[in-house]
Amino acid sequence: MVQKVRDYLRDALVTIGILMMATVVAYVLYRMSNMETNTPLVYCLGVMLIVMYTSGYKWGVLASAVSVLNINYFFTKPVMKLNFLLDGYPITFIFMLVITILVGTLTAHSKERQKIMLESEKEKMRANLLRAISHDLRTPLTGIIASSQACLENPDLDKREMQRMLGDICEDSNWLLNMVENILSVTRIGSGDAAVKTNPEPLDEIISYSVRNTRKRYPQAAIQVELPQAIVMVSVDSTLIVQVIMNLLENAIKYSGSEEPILLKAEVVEKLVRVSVRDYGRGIPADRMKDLFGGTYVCKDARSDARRGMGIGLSLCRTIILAHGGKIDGKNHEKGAEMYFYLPLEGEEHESENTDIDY
Amino acid sequence: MNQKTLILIIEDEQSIANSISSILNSHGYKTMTCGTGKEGLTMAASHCPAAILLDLGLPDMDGNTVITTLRQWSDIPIIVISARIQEEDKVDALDYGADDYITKPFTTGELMARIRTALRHTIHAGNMKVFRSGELSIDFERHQVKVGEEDIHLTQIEYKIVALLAKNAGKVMTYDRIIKEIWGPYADNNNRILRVNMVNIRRKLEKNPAEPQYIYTEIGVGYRMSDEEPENTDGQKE
Repeated sequence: MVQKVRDYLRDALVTIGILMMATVVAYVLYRMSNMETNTPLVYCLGVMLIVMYTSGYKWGVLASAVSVLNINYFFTKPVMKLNFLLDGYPITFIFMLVITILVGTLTAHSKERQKIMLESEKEKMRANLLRAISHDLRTPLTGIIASSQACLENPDLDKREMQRMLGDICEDSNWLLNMVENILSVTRIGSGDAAVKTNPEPLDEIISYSVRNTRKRYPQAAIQVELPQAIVMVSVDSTLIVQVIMNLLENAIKYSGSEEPILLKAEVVEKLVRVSVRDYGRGIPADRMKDLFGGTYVCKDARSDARRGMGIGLSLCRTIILAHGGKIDGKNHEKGAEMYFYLPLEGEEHESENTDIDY
Repeated sequence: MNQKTLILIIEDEQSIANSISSILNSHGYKTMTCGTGKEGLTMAASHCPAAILLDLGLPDMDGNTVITTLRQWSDIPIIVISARIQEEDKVDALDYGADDYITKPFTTGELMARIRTALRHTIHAGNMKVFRSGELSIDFERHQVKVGEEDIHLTQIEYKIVALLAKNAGKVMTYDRIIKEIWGPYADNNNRILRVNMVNIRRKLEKNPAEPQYIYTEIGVGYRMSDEEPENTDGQKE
C-alpha cells in the first residue's frame, strides 16, 4: 500500500518535472527563433519521456492534454491566456493531442512487449533448470529402484549384500531429499523487491544451525568454525541462508578430496558480513572457474559418484544470495578452494543489553 | 515403564505409518495407526494412548483442528510430524497446543528421544529442583547455574530464559512463548532482544558456541534445551 502511494508520487513528480522542463526548453527556443513551430515537438518529446519513465500510459495521456493547454496558454497569442477560438489552432491542438496520445500508447506498448520478452526469458531459464534437475533426479531414482527390486526378488540374499543395498538406497534417497529441499527453497524466493521474507537473525545461530545439520548428514566431517567477537545480526530468510551454508559445506566435504578440517568463517568486513567456507583439497579446476554458478558444473572425478553435480546447488546458492542483495563467489587459495558470500549487515553491532545482576 | 505403553499414530501415508510403527514396536511400545483425523479423534477417545504422533497433512481435516479438538478434553502429549520448510505450520501447531514436533525425515534416535521427552513430561512436570544435562546443572532454588564445577554468571533475564528452557527440557519453546513468559503478555512481539540474549547465554554456557550442546536452535521456531540424561539421575527424582 505504502509502496503504491510512493510509486504514484514518483510518477506524478516525474510527469510534472518533465513538463516543466519541456516548457522551459520550448520557451527558450521560442525566444531565440520567435517561431512556435518547434513548441509542439518539444512537448511531444516530453510526453514520450514521461511514458518511458512512468508506469502505464495514463500519465502520458494526462501529460499530452496538459501540453496542449500549455501551448495554448504560454505560446499562442494572446500569451498567458487560454483561447480556443484562434484560426486553425483548434485543429493543431486536436492533432497534437492525437499524436501525443498515439506516441504515448505506442511507447507503453513497447514497454509491455519488453516485459513479456523478459518473462519468456525467465520461463526459458526455469525450463532449463527443470531439465537439469529431472536429469539429476533420475539417476539416484534408478539406483533406488534397482536395489530395492534386487532385495525384494532375492529374499535369500546374504545379509552383508542386503545391508549394502539398503545402505545404497538410504544414501540415494537422502541425496534426493536434499535435492528436493533445494528446489523447494527456490519457491520461497519471489520476484521483485520483496524477493525474500527476511527477519533479523543472529549470525551465530545461523552458522551453528548449519553446522549441526551438516553434522547430522556427515557425522565424521571435520568442520572448524570461527565467529566474530561481536554479536552480529543479519536480515535474512534463515532457512535459505542455512541452505546456502550447508550446500557450500557439503561441496567442501564431498569434492575437496581432503581430510583436513574445513574452515567455516564469519566475519564483519566494513558494513558487510562475509561468510566463507575454505577447504584444503584439490581446488576448483581452472576451466570451471568461469561458469561456477551456471548450473552445469559437474565435478569430473575418477570416483563413481562423479555423476552427482554440485552445479544446481551452487546456482541455487547464487539465486538465494542475490535475492538477499548480497554476492557470492569462489576462488582458489594456495592449498585448496574457498567459497564465500557477502550479506548486508543489519543495523549496528550489539552489546549486551542487560543490566548485570549476578546469580 | 515398558508395560507396553500405547502410542497412537495419525498419519495418512501408509508407508511412513508402518515404519514408525515398527520402530516403536521394536522399542517396546504398543502402537495403533489410523489415516484420518476423524478416526484419530475417536481412537484417542476410546483407547487413551500415552502419546499421539500426528501428521499435519491429513486428507479429511486440518491437523490443527485435530489438536484443538483433542485439547478440549485431554492433555495427552501430541507430537506433530511435519515436513521441513514449513516453520509457520509448526509454530501454529505448537500454539494450538501440540507439545513438540519432529521433522521428516527423522532418525530413529530422534523419534525415540521425542517420545521419551513427551512421556516424561506427563510423569513429573514442575516439581524439579535441580536440572542436569551433560555437564550443565541448574539449581532452581538457589538460582545457580553450573557447567561442571564452574559457576556461570548470568544476568537476571538470561537466568530466567535458561530456567524456562530447562523446566521444559527436550521440548521446543517458540519465541513467542518465551517472550510472553519472560517479558509478560504485553511484550513486543519482536524477538530480537531474546535472540541477542540467547547469543550471550550461549557464549557463557557452551564450550563451543558454534556447536551448542545444551541449547539448540530450531530455526524459525524457537529453542530447545537438550535433556540428555546424565549417568546419575538422582538429582531429578526428588
